Amino acid sequence: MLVERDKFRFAYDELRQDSRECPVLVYVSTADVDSCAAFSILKTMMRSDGIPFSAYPVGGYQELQNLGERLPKDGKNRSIVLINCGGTEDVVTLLGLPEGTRVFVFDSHRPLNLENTRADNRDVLVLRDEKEGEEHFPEPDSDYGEDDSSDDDSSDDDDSSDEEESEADEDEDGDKENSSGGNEGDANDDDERAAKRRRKAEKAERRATRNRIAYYSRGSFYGRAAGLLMYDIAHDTHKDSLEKHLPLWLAIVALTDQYVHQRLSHESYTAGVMELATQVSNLPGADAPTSRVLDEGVVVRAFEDRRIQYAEEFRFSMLRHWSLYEAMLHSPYVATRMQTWRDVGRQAMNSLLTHIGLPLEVCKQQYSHMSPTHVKMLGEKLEEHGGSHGLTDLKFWSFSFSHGFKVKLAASDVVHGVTALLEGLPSTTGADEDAEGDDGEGGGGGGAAFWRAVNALGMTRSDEMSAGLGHAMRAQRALMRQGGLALANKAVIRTVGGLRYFSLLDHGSPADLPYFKHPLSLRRLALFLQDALRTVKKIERPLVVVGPCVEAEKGMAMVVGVTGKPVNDDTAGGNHFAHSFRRAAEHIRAKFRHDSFEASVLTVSERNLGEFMESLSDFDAERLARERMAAA
Amino acid sequence: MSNFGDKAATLVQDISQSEKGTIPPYNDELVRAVVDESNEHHRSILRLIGDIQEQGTSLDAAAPEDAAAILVHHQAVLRNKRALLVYLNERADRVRALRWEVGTALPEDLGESLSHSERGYFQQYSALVNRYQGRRGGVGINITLDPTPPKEHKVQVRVLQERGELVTRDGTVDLAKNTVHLLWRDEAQPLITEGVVEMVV
Repeated sequence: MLVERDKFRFAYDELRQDSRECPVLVYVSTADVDSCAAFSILKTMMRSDGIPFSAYPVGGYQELQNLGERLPKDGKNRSIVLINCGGTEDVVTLLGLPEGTRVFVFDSHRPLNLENTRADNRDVLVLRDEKEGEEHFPEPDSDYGEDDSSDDDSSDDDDSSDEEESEADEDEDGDKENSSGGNEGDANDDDERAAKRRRKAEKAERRATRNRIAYYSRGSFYGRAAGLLMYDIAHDTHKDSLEKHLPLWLAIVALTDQYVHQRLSHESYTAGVMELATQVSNLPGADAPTSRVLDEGVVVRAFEDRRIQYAEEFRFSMLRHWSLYEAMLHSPYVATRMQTWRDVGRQAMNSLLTHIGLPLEVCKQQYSHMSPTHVKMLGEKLEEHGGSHGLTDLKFWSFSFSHGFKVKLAASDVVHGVTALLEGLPSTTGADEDAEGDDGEGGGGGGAAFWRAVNALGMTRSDEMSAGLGHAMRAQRALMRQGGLALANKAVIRTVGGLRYFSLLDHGSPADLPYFKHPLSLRRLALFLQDALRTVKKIERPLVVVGPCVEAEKGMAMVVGVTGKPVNDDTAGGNHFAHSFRRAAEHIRAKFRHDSFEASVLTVSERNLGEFMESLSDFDAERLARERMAAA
Repeated sequence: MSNFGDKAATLVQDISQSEKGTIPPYNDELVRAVVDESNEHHRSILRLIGDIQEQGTSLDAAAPEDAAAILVHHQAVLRNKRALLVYLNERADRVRALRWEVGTALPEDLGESLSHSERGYFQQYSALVNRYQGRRGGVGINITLDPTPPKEHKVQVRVLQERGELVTRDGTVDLAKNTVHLLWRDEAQPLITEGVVEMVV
């Protein structure tokens, strides 16, 4: 059942109740920074209450299922918390829930499985904020259609909406026959009324089915970040000021993570920022002066012990950690707009910097070492001149975290750094990879990488954070190299049917391949390519990018799909690859794994790639046709 | 007699240069030498006073050089005494600290580096601590376990080695590799020492 925003607090109370009998089990997805943030907030809360817990990082459905099998069936009241996983599957079946076990789902993945949201499912509590928008959750089956409810259950488990559609259709037909057969026999008034009611019920049932199909067939999309949901609880239970207001910062990171990885629209992001900005301005000492005048009249920066600030930031990734020039060159925002993979683009960028009046050698030095006058000039002039180079909305509202004089991190920096740690990127020496190799089960990352990321998110380990940022910069360079190469060569990005297709396995340079072993990084490449293609090409087409898999899965390839329309647009709907990937792989009977909580990621045997793409494009054409029909 | 106070200074140097938390063997020889030296000073003072009185002058009217000599010897004695006290006091501190580290039983090798009276001191101090900790008339808890009171009574640990199930006061915990658990401090402590889990902050 759904737990609405005003009841979040009680959900936490229930959790605390259950913890008296056995420790709370936390199953947390290793797939994104949002999960890390959500877990860290929950951890902080539980620690302050002394609630015993056991946390298990999980990389995919298979692992989740294994954990479910290991659940002791002792009938004790036990609470399980799912963070960014499970919401899209029927949790009861997936985990094989024993008696007395309750599951609290904090999942930003959508569509939610309707079995989980139905009101009479008291073992699964899905926390969801109404602010998210879509208020309507069709009930999986009404009380009327009792005879076909079992069939419906099974169809709900399926990923593909179309199979469900056909099954549901059959069910309806069957039902109609039954009812009409029953009607003919009796001419009684009472019976007629009953029949009428029944017809009405059938109609309602059919409408419910249609709603259900409509809901699922939107494809995969994202709701409110798990970190924000967790923060809501922390706020309601007055635990948001723990550990020097760390939960608030983590909520900010969670929101920024969704934005950076293009999981939510600009509107939702702005709404979220507004919400958090209020909290930030309510912090004690929020209006403390940032500078201090010494006795001699010299103005210096005041020492700040941890401070969160709300400010506009440039859309240049990790600006504070490398040079302005590199930050611009490697930020997808500038790269796609100025087409910096071409010589012309780079020249345009140089000329832009010249227009601003910044010497190139100043731009190429460490940003943090740039003189204040130059930084000021940058702020003033860039917006003025950027417009003529296509750089319109150069800044976005965000937050930054400072600690003392040394640490100053933008929320997006943290997201990049922690993402890199999650991905468990190979270090320059390669020794790191060996050390973590045995843990890298869940595709590049794995448990050890997850804990490393969580550790860095605690904001006390600045060495870990800078290691992450170093990784992130290397990865960003690799991304721009590969992305640039792909865009510069016309033949590399092929068109298969209505889809565009790019394979790193065919066209990527081997040295850079290790950077793309994680679904997150491959998706980042896909998003960058798609953004760039949108500016270059006239027609928008969905893009499929193929990358390498982790060593453990030799001969497999990872496939990531992004839609044609940008995600920063609420009307666009979800990622339809969630359905078509699986169907295409099943259709050609390839060896594949569709295990990730991210439905638009699939691993498929390398040998079947060609076939897979053809099948995928067929399914896509089918989808387009259906959409067109629906529109007409 | 060598330079005044040299031996005493060596004694202090010995103890101050030794590593904190260890107890160097009790330097009986040197302590005795310092005491002897002080006695020698004392005799010198008496001799000087005797000389002055023999000459028939009162002490107040003694020649400045004689008065100065007496003063120098006197100061040397004071200095020796002070150095000896520093030496003994520092050792006494360490002996007390020993009770908190090793418990009631004095290890053989450490016992040898203590003097006889220091051993007695340890026994008596230990008895005092025991009485304070005892149930009858005391606080009833072992206060030497956590010298700095823990902030929280539960700790977060990450499992490094697969260990299967563990029954705790809160229920059964499955110690699978790379999982994180919040356990009672006293229940986690043996696992941490064993290296099965590590503390996470």
